[in-house]
Amino acid sequence: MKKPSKIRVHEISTPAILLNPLPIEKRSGKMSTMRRKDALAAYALIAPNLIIYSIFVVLPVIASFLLSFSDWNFISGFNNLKFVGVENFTALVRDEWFTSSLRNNLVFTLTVPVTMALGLLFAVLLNRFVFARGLIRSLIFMPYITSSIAIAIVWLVIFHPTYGPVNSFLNAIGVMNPPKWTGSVLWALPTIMFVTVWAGLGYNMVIFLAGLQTIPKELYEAADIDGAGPLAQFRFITFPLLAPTSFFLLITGIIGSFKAFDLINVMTQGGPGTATTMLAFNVYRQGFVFYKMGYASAVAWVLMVIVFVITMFQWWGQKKVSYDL
Amino acid sequence: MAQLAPPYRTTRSHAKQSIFGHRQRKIVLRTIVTLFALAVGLMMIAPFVWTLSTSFKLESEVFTFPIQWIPPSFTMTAYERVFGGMISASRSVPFYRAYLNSFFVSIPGVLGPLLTSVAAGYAFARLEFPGKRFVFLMYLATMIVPEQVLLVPRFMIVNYLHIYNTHWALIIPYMITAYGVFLIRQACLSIPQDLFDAAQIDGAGHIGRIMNVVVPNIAPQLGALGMILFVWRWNDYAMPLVMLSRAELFTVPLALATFIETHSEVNYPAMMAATVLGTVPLLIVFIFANRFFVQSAISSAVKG
Repeated sequence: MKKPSKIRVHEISTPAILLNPLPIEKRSGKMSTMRRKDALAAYALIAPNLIIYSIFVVLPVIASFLLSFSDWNFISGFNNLKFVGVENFTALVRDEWFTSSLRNNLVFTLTVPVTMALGLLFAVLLNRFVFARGLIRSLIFMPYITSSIAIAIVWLVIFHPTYGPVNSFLNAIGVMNPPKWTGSVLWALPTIMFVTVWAGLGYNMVIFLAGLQTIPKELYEAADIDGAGPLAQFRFITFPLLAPTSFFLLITGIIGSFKAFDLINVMTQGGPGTATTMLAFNVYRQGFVFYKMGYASAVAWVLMVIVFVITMFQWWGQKKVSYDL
Repeated sequence: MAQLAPPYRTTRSHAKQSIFGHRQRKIVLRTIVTLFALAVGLMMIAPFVWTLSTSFKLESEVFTFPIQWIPPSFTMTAYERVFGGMISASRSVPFYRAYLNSFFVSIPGVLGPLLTSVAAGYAFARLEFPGKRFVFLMYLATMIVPEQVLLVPRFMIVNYLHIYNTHWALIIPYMITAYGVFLIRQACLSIPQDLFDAAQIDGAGHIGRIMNVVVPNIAPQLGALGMILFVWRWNDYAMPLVMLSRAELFTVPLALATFIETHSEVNYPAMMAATVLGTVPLLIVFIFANRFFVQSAISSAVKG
């Protein structure tokens, strides 16, 4: 036997939440039971996520911070861990691998504006002046979804100093001693930077294309009537209105450039010498080649602070770069 | 825009002629730009084409110059080598193992985070509970943490849990993604409250509301999230590199990287064949779900 309908109607109609879509704070007994039930349900729904998150993200962040003040070699066992204060950080300054990493990371950020400029160029071309847009977009976007290891291997062979197609071509057009690319102190970093630009170009283009969609067509029509040419339209409409997109790509691009690891580990291992070592690679090298876990954590936290500062800059700057339409 | 032009130009004496010329010039310009962009597009994928062609060559044909785009002998030897496990003299793990390993790690690595993100995203968007702000800010704050900060302590935790050198070390931590929680929360907030009210009146609990209101309404976002997760998991390199040392457990990127380590004895067609094989699953997903990919790239941009 079901409950009498009268009570059902009563139950449903009483809670304020149903009469008024905006819940009104009420401290009646019924409401707080419902709230408690909701809260319990919420904890149950979040629990699986939060537990794994705590163990594999929150705990490691704390542990890494503490480890960065310790001297500990993984092989010697946990009992030999000793706290050394800021010694790791003072040692960094004298470590050539670390200072080279910082310098190389700074040079490496140059890939960001270059990738953006090329991405913007193709986004603008594809947005207005091209047939078969989908096909061309897919071709340019493809490296973005390819494994960075596959990319590293392919370019390593293409830039092979003696047999590679690039140097075969240079030989054929009469260049006597073509660069040794990844094997050369001078050229190794530019080679990795070139591959990075190539791989990131499609992503930047797609994001710029999305940004272009948000610019009202009427602005261009009005500019047409006023007799503004394509270059003037780009200069005075497209470029300023894309500022939020550009800012986003610049910041995330710079953060991403500080995390560069895969290409370096496969193509050069930081070499020759310290020519291509970077912070993220240095963390791996200290931690998992030399097993100096404390020192590796100190390098990781320098990286962390850099990323944090750039992110703060993003939060601060985000509002300053957009226009109200 | 071309259609809108005539009313503004009819006052000019040579209006008709100029419109005609304008249109023609536009088509010519478009064709030139298309050819240019197509050439760039082909240059972008030239390394892939070269890789594909090399994978069908004999060792002696790899570095001939000028480049032979069509393999002269069209042999499958390289693929047989790779699948038979003869990557090099010192390595003898057949490549299909890497394939299986990658799928074994990637499939839970996509489905798991989808489930946990929907559950948590719904709770953050639709339910009130003590500590909500704190937990949410914690997710927000740790989202910027670079993977390299986690590398060392995660290695320690995995050792402590005795799952080092097992696939669990790559599955359990990847059952969640803070990025997914944000994405789903954002999507849930855009669903009209009326739908949740209706489901509630129909007697649906939270699970019912998730299954019948949330999932159908945010299917595109779920698809995009699943797609980007698959790419991340399949291509993941640093974490597997640290967590696995037994070659039989290697995922595709690790197996590919072993070619470089055995540099002196490397067989180039085999190396290229393995690269092709490693890229094919992504390519298939990319071709069939192109729209999703672009969508996921864009949505990941909207919410970094």
